[in-house]
Amino acid sequence: MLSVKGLCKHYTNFEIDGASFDIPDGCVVGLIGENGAGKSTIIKCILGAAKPDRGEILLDGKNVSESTRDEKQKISFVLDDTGLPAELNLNTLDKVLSDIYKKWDPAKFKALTQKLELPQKKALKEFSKGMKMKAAIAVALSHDSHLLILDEPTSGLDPVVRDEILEMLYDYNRSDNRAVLISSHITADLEKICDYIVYLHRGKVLFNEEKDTLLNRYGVYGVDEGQLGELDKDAVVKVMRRDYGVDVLALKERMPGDFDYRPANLDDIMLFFSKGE
Amino acid sequence: MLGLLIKDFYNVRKQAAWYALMLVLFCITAALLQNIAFAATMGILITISVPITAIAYEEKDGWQKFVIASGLSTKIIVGEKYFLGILCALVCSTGYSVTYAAAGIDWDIVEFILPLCMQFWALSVVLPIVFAFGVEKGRTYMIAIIVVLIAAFIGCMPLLGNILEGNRLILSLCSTAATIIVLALSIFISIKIYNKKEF
Repeated sequence: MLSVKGLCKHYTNFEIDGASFDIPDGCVVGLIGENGAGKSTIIKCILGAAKPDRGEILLDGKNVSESTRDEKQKISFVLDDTGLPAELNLNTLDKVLSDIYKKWDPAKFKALTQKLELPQKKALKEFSKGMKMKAAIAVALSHDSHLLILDEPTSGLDPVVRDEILEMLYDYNRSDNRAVLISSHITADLEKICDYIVYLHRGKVLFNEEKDTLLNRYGVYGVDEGQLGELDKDAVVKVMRRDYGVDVLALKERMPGDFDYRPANLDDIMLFFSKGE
Repeated sequence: MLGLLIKDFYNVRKQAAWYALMLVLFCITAALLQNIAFAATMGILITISVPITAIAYEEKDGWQKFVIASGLSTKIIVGEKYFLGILCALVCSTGYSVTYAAAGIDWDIVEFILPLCMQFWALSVVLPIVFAFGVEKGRTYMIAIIVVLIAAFIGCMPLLGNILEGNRLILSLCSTAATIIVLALSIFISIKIYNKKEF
């Protein structure tokens, strides 16, 4: 579906350095990383709102910068600030977007916004943050796209709205082999729906793996300095020294069976890779 | 482009109502004083203010990123703002022409064409600046340009009138041709600027 190959983008105090990953058909890919890691920059490059210095982004094998309007509209998106005109209500927005999207489906938009209980005649500026995000998702799902890209869609939302949004993404992904790229630092959401995880750290892709493989590979072990010295160095991935001892992110299959551990979640993995030694 | 126009009309509708009221007042003043410069000045202000206000809303909403990501070409995005400005210029020019006609003032086509050209010139200069620097930074340049244009307009009218006394048709044709060239060049530059922009 979409391939990011060797993407480089330089800013004064930050750069994306050769980021590469794929979004296969029918898969949900989670883009994780701390604030400022470069998630939004990569998404902007994919959507054409920023221009890469090097590298390429291929949509169905064709560079997105050369894509036609029809081809570009195979990608739908939800931006962190939604980008929707705040003065408009949903009825007017429907008219505006039916002129912008060639495969706009007004009936679907109406049905989705009604299902999400969004007021039709109220200006978007009067919507709550959750309502705005729901409206943006309704927009993204109301034209015939094959790939949905979301930049922090659940950030700042309550668990009920987050769950509704994840349910909609799940439905989208299940129909017609459609793919999703979702960036978030709420890793619990990503653990629920993602097939692959791409971890971005200071502009570099640290790993790009199947979520289940990733979560099965690592364990978090609580040890002391003495035990740490005895461990197989190839098993130890990252170490974080605490007041109470040492936390170790390690490859489970290489660790001795008699060590207690807890399965590593995405938060643990992110934390160890960003702060661990 | 229709969708973009609908959006802009909704966004600027409150300001547009004020501008319409101001235009009426300036047209009446121009008719009473028999000096079209009053109405034409307002026309220039409206022609550039409405597209700039529309762009300001887009910047506030993050719409520019949205519309680029939706695959709409920069030619349409940029062209729509010029179209909006041209529409405002035509409405203003029609407004003071109708006022003059209603007041029974004797006027000729040059008095209609020259202010209209000035409005298009103002639009041609201001929009590339706003596309390049954004509304906030562009506003400073815009104010300076309006002052220069208005001064030039008021200053040159009698001079041109003397030089081209009896050649009013030539003046109209030259002004129209120059305006078309400047407008086309401005649209071309704005598209280039927009193509290089990041959001």
